[in-house]
Amino acid sequence: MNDSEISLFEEFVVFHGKQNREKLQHVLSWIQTIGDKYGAQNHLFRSEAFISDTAALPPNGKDRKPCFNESGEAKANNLRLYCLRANEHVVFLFNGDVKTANKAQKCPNVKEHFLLANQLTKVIDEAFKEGEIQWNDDLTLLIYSNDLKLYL
Amino acid sequence: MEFPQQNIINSWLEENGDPAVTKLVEKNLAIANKIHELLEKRGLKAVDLARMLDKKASEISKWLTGTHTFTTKTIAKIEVALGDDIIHVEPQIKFVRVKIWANDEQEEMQFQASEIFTKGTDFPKAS
Repeated sequence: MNDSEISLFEEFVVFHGKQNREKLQHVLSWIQTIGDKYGAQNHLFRSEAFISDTAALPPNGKDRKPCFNESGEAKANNLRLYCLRANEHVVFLFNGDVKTANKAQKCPNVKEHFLLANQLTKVIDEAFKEGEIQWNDDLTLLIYSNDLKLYL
Repeated sequence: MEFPQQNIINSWLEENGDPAVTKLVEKNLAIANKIHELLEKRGLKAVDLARMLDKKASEISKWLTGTHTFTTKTIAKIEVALGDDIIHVEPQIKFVRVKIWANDEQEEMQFQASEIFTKGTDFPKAS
């Protein structure tokens, strides 16, 4: 992103590794297990579409989600990671934060990440349409130029 | 693009992960996946299971994301509704090796699914 040396997702991991360690582990373990065993099946992702097909991890809800205990009480995991599920093999991971309002647009924490993820999803989708990003033969990897830059 | 051999997710979890949380996430996803498979096998959708369990379809959809921590009570209700087990905790014995003496000759045999015990036998006893 811009001239940053680390990706949005790396920023997410570094920041929440300090701020929300246990919530982060639920999200990362979930992604790892999906990647290793099940693939990014559509039903595992919740739509966060605003202007594009952005999704979020983990799906929302009360009394569930990466269900963990805080002070002995079950809490929902309100840490959101915005992403673009391209197919069962490829998922673009962006950034996110702890969601504190029902609607992402109204949450001061996630609003910026939510809107950026939607914008990124839109330009990535356009890059696919223009052929700047292509699939390999078995649709498991992406092919693109190393100097490819996308502009919002 | 080449598939990365090392990635930030695996690295972070190796360094910081709690094995119990990892196991919980794996179990939740496995249960959700099994329910998803059973629904597909029967040609059912989340809304059908919702009707069977008197739940909202949105709640069933969220179960299927693999992030819900199920109680055994809920699992039992789903198992009854779908007519199949989601989790197995009983010992799973598939093969039993036994030695049989018939006409003074020893034979070693393997019986699948313990059928020798479930169906009974008429083997002559060694004298």
